[in-house]
Amino acid sequence: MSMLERSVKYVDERLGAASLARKTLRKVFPDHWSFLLGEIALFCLVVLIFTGVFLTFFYTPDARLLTYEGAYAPLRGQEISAAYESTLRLSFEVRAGLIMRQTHHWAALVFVAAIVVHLCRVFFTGAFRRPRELNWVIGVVLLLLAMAEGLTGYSLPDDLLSGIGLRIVNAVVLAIPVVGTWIASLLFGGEFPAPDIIARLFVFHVMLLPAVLLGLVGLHVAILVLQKHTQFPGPGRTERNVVGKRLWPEQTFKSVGLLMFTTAVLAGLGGLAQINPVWQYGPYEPFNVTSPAQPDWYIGFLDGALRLAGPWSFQIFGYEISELFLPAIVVPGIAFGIITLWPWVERRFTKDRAEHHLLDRPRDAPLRTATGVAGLWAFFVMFLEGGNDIFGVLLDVSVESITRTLQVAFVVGPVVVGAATYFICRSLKTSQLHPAKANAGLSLRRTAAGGYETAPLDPTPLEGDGHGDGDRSRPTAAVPASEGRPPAP
Amino acid sequence: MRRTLVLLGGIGLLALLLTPATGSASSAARAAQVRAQTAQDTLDFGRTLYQQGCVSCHGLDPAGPSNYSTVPSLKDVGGASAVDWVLRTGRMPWRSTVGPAIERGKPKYNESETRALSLYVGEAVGDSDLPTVDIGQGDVKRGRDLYAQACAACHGMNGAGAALGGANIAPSLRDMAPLDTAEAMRIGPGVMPVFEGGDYDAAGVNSIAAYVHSLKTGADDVGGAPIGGKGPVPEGFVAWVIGLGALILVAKRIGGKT
Amino acid sequence: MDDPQRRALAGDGLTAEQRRAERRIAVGLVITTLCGIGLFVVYFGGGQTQLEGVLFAVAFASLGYAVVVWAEKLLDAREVSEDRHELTSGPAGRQAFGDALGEEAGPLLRHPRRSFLVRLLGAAGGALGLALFLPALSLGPAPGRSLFETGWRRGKKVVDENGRPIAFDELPDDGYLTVFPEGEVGRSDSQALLIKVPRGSLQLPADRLAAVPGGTHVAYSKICSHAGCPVGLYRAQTRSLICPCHQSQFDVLNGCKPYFGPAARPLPQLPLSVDAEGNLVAAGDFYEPVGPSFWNRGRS
Repeated sequence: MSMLERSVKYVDERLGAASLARKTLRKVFPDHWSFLLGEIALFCLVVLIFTGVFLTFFYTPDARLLTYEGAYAPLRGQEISAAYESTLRLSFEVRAGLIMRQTHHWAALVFVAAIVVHLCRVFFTGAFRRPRELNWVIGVVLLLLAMAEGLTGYSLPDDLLSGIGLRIVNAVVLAIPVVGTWIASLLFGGEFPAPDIIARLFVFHVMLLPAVLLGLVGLHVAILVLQKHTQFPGPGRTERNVVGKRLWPEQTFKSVGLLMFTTAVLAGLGGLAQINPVWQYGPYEPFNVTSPAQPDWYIGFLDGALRLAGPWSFQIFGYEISELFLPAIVVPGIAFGIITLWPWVERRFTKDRAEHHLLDRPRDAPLRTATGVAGLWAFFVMFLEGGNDIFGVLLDVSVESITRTLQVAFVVGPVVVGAATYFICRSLKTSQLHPAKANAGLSLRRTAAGGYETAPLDPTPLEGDGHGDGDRSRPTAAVPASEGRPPAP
Repeated sequence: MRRTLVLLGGIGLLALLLTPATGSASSAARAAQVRAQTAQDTLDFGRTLYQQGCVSCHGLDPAGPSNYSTVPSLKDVGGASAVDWVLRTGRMPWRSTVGPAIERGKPKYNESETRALSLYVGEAVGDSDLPTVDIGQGDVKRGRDLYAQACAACHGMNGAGAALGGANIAPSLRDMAPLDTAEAMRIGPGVMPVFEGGDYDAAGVNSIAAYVHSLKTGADDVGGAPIGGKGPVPEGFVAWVIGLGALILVAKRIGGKT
Repeated sequence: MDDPQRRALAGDGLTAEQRRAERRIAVGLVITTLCGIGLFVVYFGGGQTQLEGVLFAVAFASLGYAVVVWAEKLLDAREVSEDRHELTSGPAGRQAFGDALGEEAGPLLRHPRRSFLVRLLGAAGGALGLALFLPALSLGPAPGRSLFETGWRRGKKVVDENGRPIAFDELPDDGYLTVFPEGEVGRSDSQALLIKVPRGSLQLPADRLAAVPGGTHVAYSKICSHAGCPVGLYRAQTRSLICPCHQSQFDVLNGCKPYFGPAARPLPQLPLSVDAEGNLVAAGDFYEPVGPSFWNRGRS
């Protein structure tokens, strides 16, 4: 018996693992590239954990002051916190310290970006419908946890930029009605800038949040395996099967390949693109500030919301509702509330209680797609406003004009963009054209006499009608008139 | 008798001309006379240049009102330092027809012309002080500390510059000559306040100039390409476009298309 | 027989395409190996961030390339179909679950004494459960007066960041300075901006103007009334302060009222006077609580 066979026998005799392993390895997963987006996020998480553990050995979560005598000359002799000092030491004096730190930070940015793109894929294809509502909620919670991990993480070095960010977090907590001042004092350990906050953020970042995050990731993947992955409609694909390649060997090889490429991209960025140069910002002093001042991108939409809002503060019987309440608490609360509860919101409108394992194309659900695009537009406007001073310098316009334009774009834009998307979806559904490929417009043909005439449209129909019966015998002209007209010449 | 007088006068004149400058009073007076002559030449040169290049906007008299309401009078912009600064950094003569004259450019005047104009205007408005700066005397560490207090809010801790509301910007400081720093602090050009006295004495200015100069080399961009040095916004852009973009391309290549 | 079997019979069992793929995989793996060795060299040579990044990136990308080529060309993977099983256990399954729950436990709630006990259990659980959260209250002090008071008191000297008292005639025109109460340099809630403006330019009510020595030296809290960032950007020409965090702009000549941006309240003014030695001193604490708004801010 070979070594491998002996090992398998050893484990199987104790755990009975062979038959379970066989079933698992033969599981079928569909093959579309957009199903790999969640994996990209997962592999970013792997890189985050690997680099993060390394960082934990060098970082000191202590706000106590000491005098810097390290390698970065302009700061020598300065009184800085031990947390900041340990970050400087890691960046300048620990071999491979800077690349691990930068890779960790780039991985965090790409992690949340991948989650967002994955969420969009799931949303626009309707993969959150029954029986996957629970996994959708877990996914949204994972997004929020990832954002919280990022916020707590980049605040650990106690540099000027992240310290300013913590000041704003404190102000937002203060803005909570009735209990805000208490929560702020308990969370921070006193009035800002209470030094305890660094150590507490460390506990969240390294212990509490990763524990919940990893647990939920495990649950997220387990539910996916149990319920089997969804698939796009196509030949041979029905609601009662899943068509694709087996976990072993094809999908394993491809996933390993994707893991390698993810690590490659993140390591490349980590070595070649400088990120969060905390030595340049200097240590956090509550009376200093630097410009421009923004948080990492995934918190940037909140920063933008705060810039976008007007000076709307209210008084109720002598009590104050802060001007931060609406943009920092109400609007994100409603937005994420709708996102989390979307499967039930949509069901109220569609009355669709059936199980769905076949995905929609975005055009097949015009209302859903239009709402999603409108929501993305609103988020995008908030992001842009978050960088309004940088764009002002770039485009040579005043900060005020950018703000006014984006305020209008925030209110009017979602309606306009949503309506346009809705009608585009309806039109694409009727004409069966691929939005990027086929020619949906006028086509001119030169006649023998030298003049021009319009040639008849020749749309390239997609396979089937998108609902899994794979029946290509139905001609496109049979589209009922009530669905709308073909694209106008 | 006349010949004797002439001879004595000639010897006297000769003696005067050939006597080395040992007598301090007489040589100092001579030196001052020479300097005054040179200074007057400089001022005349400056006036000529002013009348050629500056009168159309700033008016015939530098200390008087300018010819346009949008053009400040040179009376209280900072005297000779201000003129020296705008000319050396090429911000003046004004090239653009819109926007504030904040863009650096190629200087039009050479060193002696600049000096002449600065002294002329300075003399006319009563402020001929030209600051000197020596970054060798400055302490980069103290400069960083002072910079964080006074300059970082508008110009950014790493000198990348930022917006200031309206259409104003605090420009990037990553390519400044030390004299630029010293003069700008003294003048308070445009919307910038004046930083003079107290901590911003000669030693303070030397230190701040030393720190600003250290930003020029980019030597502390050890992490790689600084991506503009403007913080998380360009970093987020790179993460999406380059980071996630590359990975989506990889996914499209690896995965299926149906 | 099908293609794979036919291929296996012809020579070494691989098509030309597969042999090409093997070569590509080999090249990829060799590159990875070389980069790995290169990383050893760089590390023991002292380390260099950019080189480390490039070598790691190329090593992993090359390995990824090799694996993907293997997956695409050397595997015999086929598209297969797997049936989905019913997810539900069905009513019978759920009934069995219910039976298992209740089999030996007896009626949980229906018996009146039992349901009363269950209610008692609820109360006990609630009280104890809440009590378990009591240690959380030790995380921080009660907010108390901390948000209403700063370190400024009547008579405290105005000092700069180095603790040096500021004389009345020290600031240049259009100068501005971050100041603190003497003895409390760096105290966050006490940070203030001292600004010298031209005499007669301030538009303040008479009582506030009286707290501006010479009508020129005015002091405001540096903490933005919006979200608490230091309002450090001073546009001397227009005498406006800008907060970099959310771009609120305050008019210094008009009591630091916000005229653009999301801030709703002016920056609180610090009353000043001049002592016998010609130094600036505070004439009291700020006129209002400093910093961002909070629930009971109006009820001090």
